[in-house]
Amino acid sequence: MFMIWKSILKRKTTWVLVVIIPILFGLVIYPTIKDTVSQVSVPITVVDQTDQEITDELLNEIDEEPFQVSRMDTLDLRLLSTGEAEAIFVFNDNMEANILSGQTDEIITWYRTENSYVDGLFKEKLASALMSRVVRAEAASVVTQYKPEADWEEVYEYGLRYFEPRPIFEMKFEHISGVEDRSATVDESGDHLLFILLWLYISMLIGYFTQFLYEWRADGVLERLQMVQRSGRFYLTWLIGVFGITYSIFLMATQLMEIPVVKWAYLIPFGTVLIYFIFFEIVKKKWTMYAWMISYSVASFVIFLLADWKIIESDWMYLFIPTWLLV
Amino acid sequence: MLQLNSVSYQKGKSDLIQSVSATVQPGDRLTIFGPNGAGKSTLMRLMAGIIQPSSGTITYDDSLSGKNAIGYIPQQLALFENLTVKEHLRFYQKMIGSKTNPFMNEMIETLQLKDFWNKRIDELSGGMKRKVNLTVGMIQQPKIVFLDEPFVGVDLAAKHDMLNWLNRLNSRGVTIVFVTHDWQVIHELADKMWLMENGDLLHEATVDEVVHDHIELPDTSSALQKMISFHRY
Repeated sequence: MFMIWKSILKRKTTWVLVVIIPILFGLVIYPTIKDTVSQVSVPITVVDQTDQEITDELLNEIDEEPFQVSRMDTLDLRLLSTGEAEAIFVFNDNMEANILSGQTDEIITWYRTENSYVDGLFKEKLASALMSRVVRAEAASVVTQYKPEADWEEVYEYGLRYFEPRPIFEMKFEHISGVEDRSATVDESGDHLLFILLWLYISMLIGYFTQFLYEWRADGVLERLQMVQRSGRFYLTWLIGVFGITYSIFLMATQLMEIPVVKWAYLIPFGTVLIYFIFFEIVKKKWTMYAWMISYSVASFVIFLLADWKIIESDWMYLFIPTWLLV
Repeated sequence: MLQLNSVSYQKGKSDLIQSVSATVQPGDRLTIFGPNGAGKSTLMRLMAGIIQPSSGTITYDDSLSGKNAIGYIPQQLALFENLTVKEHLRFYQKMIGSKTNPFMNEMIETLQLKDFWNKRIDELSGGMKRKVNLTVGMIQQPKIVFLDEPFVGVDLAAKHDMLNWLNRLNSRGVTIVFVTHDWQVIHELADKMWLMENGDLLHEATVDEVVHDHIELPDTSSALQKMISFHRY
């Protein structure tokens, strides 16, 4: 029965679909999508011409999503026009000394354009980190003025504790368990886009293999095999081969692309193969089957994205196989 | 050997075969003759057990009860386009659990397949493909063989080889049932004719009776009548 697979594997198209397309996807499409996803982060440039220690401290403190901060020692305003930087923050040459002495006027220059939208958040974070230092320096100066034996460095380090400031207002805070971590959702949506593209490819591949069943049925090969063998073993051989290929690609791709797969998702290739086979049994004409399967694939793509974005949340959506990833 | 008792076959709302009763005897050389759409192929598929009748029964005697007793050569070239002749024969041999035997060797030699042994099916001529199609359908050494227009697109040399082989088999007791529109083949290979039109088996006769106008058809202007008159050419 291996011979039916030998016949399939002798076709160049099979190798193009099973080997060349995944390689092209890995080399071209995957990095493009990953880049697109990473472009969601906000590029910020910080210029410090004198390479001050405080710059490292500040950037370490606020270096988190969604900012992608790059540090330079010269100002290059072209970065704004090319879109490589959403905003540029130029630190004053004596910024560290100015902060410690409590002089906060014009220690940072902020460059932005009319196309800069979310750089304000970075400015707030930067200002907050700076103000903390200014307040601590002020605290250290006040404390050492009245208590000469006090260590300025120590007070600066723990200055906020000396002040013990009461908050202007207190907000009641309640932690709700079970709410999704929104920071993780940013990464997952990128993975899910890759996943649905992977499923579309697998679906197309199974459609290609199903086409052989239609050809063999039209040519009378299936009838002959049935006549000689009096069993459905050739269907089993076909199914084993298709399961083998689709699962290999599915597992390899999800591993390489680091797509988190939950247990129900392992049934997705199985379900997809099965649905094609059922269509083959029910729909007698090849092009009718293709019309149905293309419609199903497109609908699955849309439903998957809507479900991923939480626009629809209903049991019926699980009729569309890719949504099993979201169970 | 094989008996049809009021066999009917419907597909959707169409009656493709209407209450056919007839018998095929061991060693028969029978052709089912009639215009396109008469139901010849359907009747043959019913007899070969590929499809089941909607009503009526088909009974086989003990000689046809074995798994490989019936051979069927379909009208289409039921072959894998990109496998070689050798791969085809090996494949079907394995499927029936047989090894190369004198019957197979004789068939390969008579049909001159050795010359094309390692050629892919899509590299062969139409006639060669038909020969491979015939060989694959008979690899299990059947007792009765059904052939659905086996000579379409076959040149005279290939036709000669195929007819030679089928006649040789028949002389050893193998029953031959076939569909064709080719009077030359009928003269060479058939003794009996079943005349069909619109799913009805209108007449059973010998080839001689049909050729010499010793039969009466209900509609003398029918397509079947015109086809019969062609034997003179």
